Amino acid sequence: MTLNELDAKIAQLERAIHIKIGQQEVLQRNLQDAESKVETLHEENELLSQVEVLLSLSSDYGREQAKLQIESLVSNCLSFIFETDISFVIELTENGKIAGADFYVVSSYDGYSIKTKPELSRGGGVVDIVSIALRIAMIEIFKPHIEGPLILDEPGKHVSEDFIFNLGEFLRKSSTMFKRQIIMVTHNKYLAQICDRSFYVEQKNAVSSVQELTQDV
Amino acid sequence: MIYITKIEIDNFQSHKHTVMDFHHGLNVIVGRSDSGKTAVLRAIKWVLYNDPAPSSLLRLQETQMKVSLSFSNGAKVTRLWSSNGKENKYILNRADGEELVLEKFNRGVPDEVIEEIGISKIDLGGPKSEGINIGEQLDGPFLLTETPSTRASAIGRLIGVNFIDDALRDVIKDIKGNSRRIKDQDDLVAHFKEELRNFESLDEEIKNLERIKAKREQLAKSTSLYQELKQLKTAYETNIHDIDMTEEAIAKMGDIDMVDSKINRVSQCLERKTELTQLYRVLHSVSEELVHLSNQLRHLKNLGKTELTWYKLNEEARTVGDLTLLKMNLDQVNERLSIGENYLKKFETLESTRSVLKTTETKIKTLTELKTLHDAITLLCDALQTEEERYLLQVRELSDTEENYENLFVALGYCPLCHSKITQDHFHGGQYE
Repeated sequence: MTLNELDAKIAQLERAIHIKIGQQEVLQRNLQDAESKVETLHEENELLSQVEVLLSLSSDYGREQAKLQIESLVSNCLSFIFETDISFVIELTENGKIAGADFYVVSSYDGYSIKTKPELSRGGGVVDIVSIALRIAMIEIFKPHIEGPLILDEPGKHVSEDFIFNLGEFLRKSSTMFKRQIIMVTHNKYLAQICDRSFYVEQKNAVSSVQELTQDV
Repeated sequence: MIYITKIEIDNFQSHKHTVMDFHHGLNVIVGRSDSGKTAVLRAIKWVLYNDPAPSSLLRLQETQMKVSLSFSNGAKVTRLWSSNGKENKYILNRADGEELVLEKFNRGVPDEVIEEIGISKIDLGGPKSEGINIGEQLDGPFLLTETPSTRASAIGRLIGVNFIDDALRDVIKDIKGNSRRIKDQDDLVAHFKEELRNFESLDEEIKNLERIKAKREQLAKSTSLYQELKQLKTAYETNIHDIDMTEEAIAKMGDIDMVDSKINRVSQCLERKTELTQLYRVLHSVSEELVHLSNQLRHLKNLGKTELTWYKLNEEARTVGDLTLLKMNLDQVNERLSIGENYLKKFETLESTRSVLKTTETKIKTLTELKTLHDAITLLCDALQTEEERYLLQVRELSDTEENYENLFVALGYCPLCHSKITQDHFHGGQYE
């Protein structure tokens, strides 16, 4: 083998090694990239987990606050109307990642209490009152603020005569307290009497006519 | 809080034309069943929510219906609809007096209206948006019959937790996505590491290459050395050959001393040759001159006759010379005679001169006597001066001695003779007593 042949072989070997070095560098760069990406992603995930916790806590806290406000408002309403130790309880549940809320009415009688779901095991009166109280609570608590009147069609239809007066009183007080106009339709003469203004509607020849009634009538 | 001050209903269900002024507090509508009480509420709902669809609300045999609500903030909203499809609009009279006619709202309520009176359906997360302001008879109990999740959502939405919930959902989705990406990247990392394993021997290969290169350099150096040596060997052989040849030549030459003597002789011969050449040149020139002279000699054949003439001429010339000399002597004698005559003339005053000389000699004698006398006088004068100086010196010495003597008296203070007191004053009259 001559020196030239040897040189040629060396050059060939060198080229091959350089190619390998290049490939190795590319691979190392790729590896570094991938590793730094993994690191970034881990950091991101860490951050996201913290955000998740934060949001979850905020959500829970917010819901808890709203829950307390509603409970308080509805419980006050029930107590006012039924004049007994009766309260409204919301239980927030979590089924998987989905939040749920169960509504309960808790009545206490001389040392023991009954906790029931009103829509299943209470009379229409209680359901009626809870429904009205919930609506009032929701419309007052809602953000952003909702303007306009509260319009009710025959509220307390199932409430017995014993409590209808209290319901009327409650509506009046609510109207005054929240400065919210209430327009309601009722058949009940008590409710008709405690209002600020009442209208009488009658129909003759398929034409309705409305008369404003004075308070005294 | 905004409230409804007035409602005007035209051709809406059982109402042909109804106007009601509402109180800001609790308003109650009473009446028998099916008298049109609920229709009033429905009319309000129609304006506030554009719900239900108007076709079912038009009064029988009418083509156009209209409901206007006036609000406590001064705004007025009018909903107008005609069955022929010509009229279907909201007219909004804003609190500031501006009137807008709004016709593009589909099944909803124009944003301008919602903005003006602040009333709209709200999304409580249920299947449909709720008109929370209006609780209708047939709606069923509010929220109670909804699913737990809807109720939770409604509670959340009260205070905007739904946005947080949405964000939370997104975050959870992001986390899932991220985990997936991390897994992908991890796989990628593993893959790259696996690939890199193929290159583990690379360092060794590089080292080998370096070793080979080093060896190659050594080899190259050795080769060049070999070449050099080869050249040297050739040169050596040539030199040896040359030496042999030279030695051979020297051997052929024999005795070198003999050569040297021969060389000397040759060089001597050469010198002689040069001398001879010069001599030859001289000889040649002499012979040439000789020829020349013999030629001249030929010219000089009649020399005798010429000599004779020359002698005659010579004699004549001598005679001329003698004559010339005689002439010259004659002239000189004449000249001397004239000089002698002149000289003799000068001696004519000789006698008178002799008498003058006599007088002069006497006078000189007298002068010499006078001169001797003068010298004696001069000597006497000098002696006199010396005596004078000596006199003056002695006078000064006397004066100094005198002064010392006075000073001694003064110092003593009294006269040694009479013991009278002596002071400086005694001497100042200039006269010592």
